[in-house]
Amino acid sequence: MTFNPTDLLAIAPEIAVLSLAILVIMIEVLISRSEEVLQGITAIGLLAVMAVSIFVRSTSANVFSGMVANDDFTMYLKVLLTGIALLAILMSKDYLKGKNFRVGEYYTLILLATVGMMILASSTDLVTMFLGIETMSIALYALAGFRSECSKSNEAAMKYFLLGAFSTGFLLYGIALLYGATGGKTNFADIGIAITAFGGDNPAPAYLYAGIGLIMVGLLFKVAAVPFHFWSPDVYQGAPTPVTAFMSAGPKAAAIIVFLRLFGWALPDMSIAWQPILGVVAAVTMVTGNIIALSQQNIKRMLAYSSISHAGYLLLAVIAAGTAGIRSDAAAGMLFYLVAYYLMNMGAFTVAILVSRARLDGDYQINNYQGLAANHPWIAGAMALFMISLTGIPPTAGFFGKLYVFSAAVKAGFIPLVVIGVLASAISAFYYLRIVVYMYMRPETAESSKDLKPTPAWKTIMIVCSILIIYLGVMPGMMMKLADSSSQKISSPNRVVTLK
Amino acid sequence: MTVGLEWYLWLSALLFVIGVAGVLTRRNALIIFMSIELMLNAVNLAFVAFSRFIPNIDGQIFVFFVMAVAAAEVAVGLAIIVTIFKRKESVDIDQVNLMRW
Repeated sequence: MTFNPTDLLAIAPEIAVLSLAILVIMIEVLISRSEEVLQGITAIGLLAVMAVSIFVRSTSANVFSGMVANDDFTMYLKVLLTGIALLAILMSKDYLKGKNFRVGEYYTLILLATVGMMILASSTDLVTMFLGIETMSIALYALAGFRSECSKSNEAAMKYFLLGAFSTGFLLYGIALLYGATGGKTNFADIGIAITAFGGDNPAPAYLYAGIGLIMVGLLFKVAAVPFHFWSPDVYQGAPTPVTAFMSAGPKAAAIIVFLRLFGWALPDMSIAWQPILGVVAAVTMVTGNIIALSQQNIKRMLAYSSISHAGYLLLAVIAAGTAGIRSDAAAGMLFYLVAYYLMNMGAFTVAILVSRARLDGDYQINNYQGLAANHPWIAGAMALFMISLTGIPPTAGFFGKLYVFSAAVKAGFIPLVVIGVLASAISAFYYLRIVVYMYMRPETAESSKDLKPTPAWKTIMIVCSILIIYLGVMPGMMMKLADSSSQKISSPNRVVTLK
Repeated sequence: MTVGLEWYLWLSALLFVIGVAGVLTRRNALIIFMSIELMLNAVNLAFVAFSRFIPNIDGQIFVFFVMAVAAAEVAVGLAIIVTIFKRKESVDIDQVNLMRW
């Protein structure tokens, strides 16, 4: 095992985000506590990181003895995750104003969570996977409770923390058992090789299955799949709204990607064992998430249940990836879906912030959307677009995201699951389009005729998200080609194992 | 009679189950937290046992990572619990119930 200095180029984006996080907190302490300065540095820094992720790359395929991936798939994810952080920071800009927050700490925590997400999305080893999950989660626990003067935020942090730490226990126990069962392997590719050796007169130990099951529980908790979703609505409601938007897009994307890598690349030989279980979980997640969302009166809780059901759709891609030959299709579908989901969710949360701010009590009730279209045709139009895209109606990005994921699942032969997925999306139309109905067909109220005062930052987010959603919905070809070509080359580094 | 790998694994499983039972039945946030730490130590025991019997050093290295991460988690977690205590004068999780369904 040798260390090659050019390996550092493969994790240059992570190093850059981490340095940026340290820089921001030091600037707050030593130089300036001005919100504009800190925000500007964070935003410009993240743009630079995006450029770094695209242009600065190590040519070696086998970096850090195969602990992190260094391929186009990973690069695509790093750019996506940086983009999520960038929009979250833009969204926070005016939200933080007048709230007596230490903004430097806030941006630093977002950046640290982003580092965790990037490590998680590029991990090809159980050690890096664990470190990525924890770096991400610990920063998010603190972010969820950032409004320390607000009881709901405290409660969100406490619930998230206790349940998150609990699920980490399961994940780790699973990792320990998998490590033992495969004879001391932690690398995904090595685990895959070790598992092919089982069979015949060399049966797999029972704790191999227990280990895989426990890892599955830990990861399902992180993506908030039913029945491990109980934390998510409360945390989404209690956390500051830009953090909620960030949490619903970033950590979910990072966790589902490592799910795909671990189960699709390391454990395809065990797919007879895990595909049916994940299939049931995905079906229950899609149906339950959408049905509970129907009865929600608070838009943040509604979007929380909606994001639970979207985790169910994404799990379909993980299941499809367990079938040989469908792997890269499933990965490409997932990449497209993640981009679409990120755009529409970020947009919807931005509108939610705007509408709730105009009210004296600042609450997030769905009633607030009554008659919004009369006075704010542009904002209502954008919100309608986000809702239509979340439902998955063409011509929006959400439609093609679902199409690609579902078609990968059909190719892998999971037709009943896809039928359930399509029916669940039909249910979801009720609550997504209810908001559209409220905005366009209800008379306006004294509250909804108030000026929403969208600031330039919020306008930018809504415009960018809307344009990209329509663009991806009308011309998905280019993005799909990008997703396709990057998933063709997912490397699974096979390091030569030398046993001492 | 020699103490084999199974003995360690059963002990580790027992500790893990005690931890899980503690999380599920106790109502005091601090006790829940202690139970979670017990779960993590069960994991450490399993790692060390595997590492000794395979033999392969990676498991023992993993234990260091687990301990470091657990320490970071304690720092953030206790801060959250203290914030709740300052507001409610209690760390009973049944009283932390503003949000339901």
